[in-house]
Amino acid sequence: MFNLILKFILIMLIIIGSISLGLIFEGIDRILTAKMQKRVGPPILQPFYDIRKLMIKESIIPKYAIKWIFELSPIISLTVSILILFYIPIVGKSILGGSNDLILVVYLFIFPGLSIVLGALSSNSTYSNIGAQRLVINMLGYEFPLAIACFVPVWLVYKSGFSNIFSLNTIYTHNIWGLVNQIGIIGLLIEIIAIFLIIAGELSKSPFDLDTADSEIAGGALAEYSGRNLAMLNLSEAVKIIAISSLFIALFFPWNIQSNLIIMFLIYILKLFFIIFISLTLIKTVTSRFKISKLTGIYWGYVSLLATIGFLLVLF
Amino acid sequence: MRNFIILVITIPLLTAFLLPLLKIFSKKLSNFCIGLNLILINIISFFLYKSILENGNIIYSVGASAPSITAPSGFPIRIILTANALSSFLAMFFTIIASLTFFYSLNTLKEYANLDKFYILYLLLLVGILGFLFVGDFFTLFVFYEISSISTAGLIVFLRNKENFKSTFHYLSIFSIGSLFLLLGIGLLYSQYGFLNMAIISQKIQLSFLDKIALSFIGSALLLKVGVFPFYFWKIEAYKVSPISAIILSILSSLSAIYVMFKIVFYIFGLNIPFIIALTLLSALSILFGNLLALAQKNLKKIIAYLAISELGYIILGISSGFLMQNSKFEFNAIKGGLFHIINDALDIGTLSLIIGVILYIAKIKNSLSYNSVSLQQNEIRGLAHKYPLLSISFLLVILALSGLPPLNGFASKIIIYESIFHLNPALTIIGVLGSILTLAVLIKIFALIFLGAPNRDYQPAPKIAMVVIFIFLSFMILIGLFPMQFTNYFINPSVKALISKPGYKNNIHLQQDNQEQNHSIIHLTLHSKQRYFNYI
Amino acid sequence: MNRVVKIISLIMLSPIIIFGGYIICHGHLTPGGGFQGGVVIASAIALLIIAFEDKIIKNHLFSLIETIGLTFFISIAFVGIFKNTFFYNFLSNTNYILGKTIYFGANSGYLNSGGIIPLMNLAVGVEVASALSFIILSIKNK
Repeated sequence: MFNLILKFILIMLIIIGSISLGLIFEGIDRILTAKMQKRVGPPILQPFYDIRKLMIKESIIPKYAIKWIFELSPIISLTVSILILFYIPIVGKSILGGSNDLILVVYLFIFPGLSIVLGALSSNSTYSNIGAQRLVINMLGYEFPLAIACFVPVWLVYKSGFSNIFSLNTIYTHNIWGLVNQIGIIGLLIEIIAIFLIIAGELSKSPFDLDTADSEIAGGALAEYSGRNLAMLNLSEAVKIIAISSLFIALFFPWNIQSNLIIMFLIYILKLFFIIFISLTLIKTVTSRFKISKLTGIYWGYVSLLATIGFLLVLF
Repeated sequence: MRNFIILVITIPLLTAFLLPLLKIFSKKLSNFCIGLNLILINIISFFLYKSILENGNIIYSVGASAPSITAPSGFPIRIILTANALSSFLAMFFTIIASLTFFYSLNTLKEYANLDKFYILYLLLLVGILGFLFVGDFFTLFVFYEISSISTAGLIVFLRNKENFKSTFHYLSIFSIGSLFLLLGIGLLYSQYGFLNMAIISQKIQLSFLDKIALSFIGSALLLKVGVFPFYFWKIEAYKVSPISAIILSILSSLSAIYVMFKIVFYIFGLNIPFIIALTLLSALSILFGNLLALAQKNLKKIIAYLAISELGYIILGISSGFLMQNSKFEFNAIKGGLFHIINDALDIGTLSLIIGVILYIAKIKNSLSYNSVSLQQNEIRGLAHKYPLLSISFLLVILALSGLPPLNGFASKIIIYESIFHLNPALTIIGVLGSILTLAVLIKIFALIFLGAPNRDYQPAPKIAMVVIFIFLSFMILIGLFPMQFTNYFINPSVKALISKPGYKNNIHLQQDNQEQNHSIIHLTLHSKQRYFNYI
Repeated sequence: MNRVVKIISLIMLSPIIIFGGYIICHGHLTPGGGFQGGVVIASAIALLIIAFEDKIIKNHLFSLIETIGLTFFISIAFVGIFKNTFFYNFLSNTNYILGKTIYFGANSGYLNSGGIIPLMNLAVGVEVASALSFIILSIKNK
């Protein structure tokens, strides 16, 4: 009984904490981008103000849109993004962890993209159609290197003879940097470069941000959303930042100081900041958008090549 | 109780033969009789499965009370049917799907002429599928192979357009070569050992060079019927033009051929490692090719065919990887994932084709669209989700199930396959994940083009019985997805034990020479050590 | 066709049918049996169809006879279930209708033996004859 209440409190904490953390990190990302581009950026709490403004406004639905898909998709996107966080070990064991949750988490990452695609396609607008098709190609692209990158730690844990190799708890407790030899460390470093690119692709930030290309197609997949729906989509974007960064922290950067909970959590936030700074802010500021015709080639060619080379080096 | 094996096969045969007589009285009477028979077969196959779980394998000889009674100077030549847990479970499952599809086809095919001949061939194909599961000797194998292929040919040509004739000719020419190969392999085995009985050959076989040639002939004929990577061209041609109920039955016959192929390769020829390695590679290639080629198709029924090929790749990947990892603790799980995926594949692709059948029925206006296919390029059907919300919810659930997304049944079986084949080779798991993403892309494209957008004309109302059948399939999918552990414990685990217990099969039929009198030599086939799976009260 | 062909075909009808029936009935003793005898009878009907060009026989008659033959076959096989297994030869070795007991060794062939095998031959003969006539009539009618 006490366990149940504890889990319930933890779940509430994660819901509120992930949304606020995501929005704060988005604010930090915006102000750092602005400073790198020699501007004065918005205040750090700007995303909170945006969400509050959007919640007050009215949601407009297009005439021939299919209403139930259009309104359902932001809800599903937000829910599944938060659900992913329950399976990832943050400072200890994950809340809902089981024995096979790495594959489950990889599949759950498809859901936010899928629901945005369906919502955009159901809104019967040309801009949304183009944005949705580009988002589908984006998703097709990054899943291949994501699968390769996620299965590298699994292979290392398997080779060292542990059981329950697909469980995130197992990979988190056995530090993978201690399971490789020297060539493997080079492989893991190459893998990390590929991971930063994958995170940028998953979150649809530059150079992979075709689906919400603001200047080209007027907002793309999110074009017809307004008001409360758009607020929920922004929230799900924020939670997705936290989710995918936490996944890769649990897989590839699992070091921590075995002290009390607060310090472990602070170190976790420090690692989050490090990953978000490199993969979001840095890559976003220095690159421009890829063309759609080259996107699949880049994902399945260059990024997968990096990931595969990393895997092969780890194999030996 | 043990007559139930033959009743499952011959009751639809009797109905198929009686149908022209019944049609004279009234059409409703014949439809009622077919429905009654299908429900009867469901009940009989369920009791057969229950009795096998309690009492062990059944070995049934047609025409004699025991397989050992022979002529005074001879050896047993009998038509033998064997049933173990896996084949009776598959029979029970296939009869459920076939009867539901029959009720669906009553609704959607009702304005076509020659429908009685369609149902005769439908029942004959069902006889072929069920008989194929229960074969115990090579002659029966050949007979049921022929029955299923010729009935399918008749079903393909039902609509009698020019494309149908072309596709049927293509199908018949490929399958005549296939049955010739099968006959050649069987002839090689018979000429060497003089027996056609599978159990006796499995004991007497010495794996000489001729035996390996026989294995390659029989294996390729059965792989042709399954329809994996290099052998799938007849599927594309055949599924492109046939009605939806024929497509679903043809998928069931491919699934039964998978079981027979593994039974023959594993029981009779021993574990032939190069064959199974080749199977693993072919199945991985068929996952990739099925999904990638489906992305480029514009014809709806061809997309069903390509997705069916890729799902068959998952099944064979699971089972053959399990056989490759012998004597390790992952063998059971890999085969369990493959067999579980047979059920999920039949349900998912079945529901997808039922929904596409309803779409084609809705969009048909009498002289404008042919029933055969709809090309996605002209985008003639648009905006269905405004008028048919239930159909679009069903299609969304099928998208989730077919791509293997949680919480539906595709994910439950795929996760068991992924975690087991990882130990064989991690590249296979990556190919599997990639395949499901590509399936997702194909299905989203269809959904967006057909269901979303503004409607462009008025459509007919959806047929009610067809929607009920779709909901029954969906409820199966959701239930299996929500409770996979219970489902596998009750149904799949006995089947896996039946498939991998090779010494159990050999001990069940024991050839023992008994020279009592000088003129007769009586050869006893006795049943040893009945297998008990668990106490099913 | 002219009158000579029509009359000769009518005259030749009965010997061919009797010969076909002979092959069917003696199927358990001499080479032949159901399928072969049925083909002979179908050739007689083919003779009729080619000689007389107007439609004197309809297609669904053949379909009916075929059905009767097939159901007879399956029903006799089903009766065996009550004794033992499917297709059990419940008439042989009983001295009832077709079941004279035959002893081991060469003999000149007794028509009374064989159990359900002659019945099966009959059913298959009827079925094959009507099926092949159906095919020939369909080819002619196109």
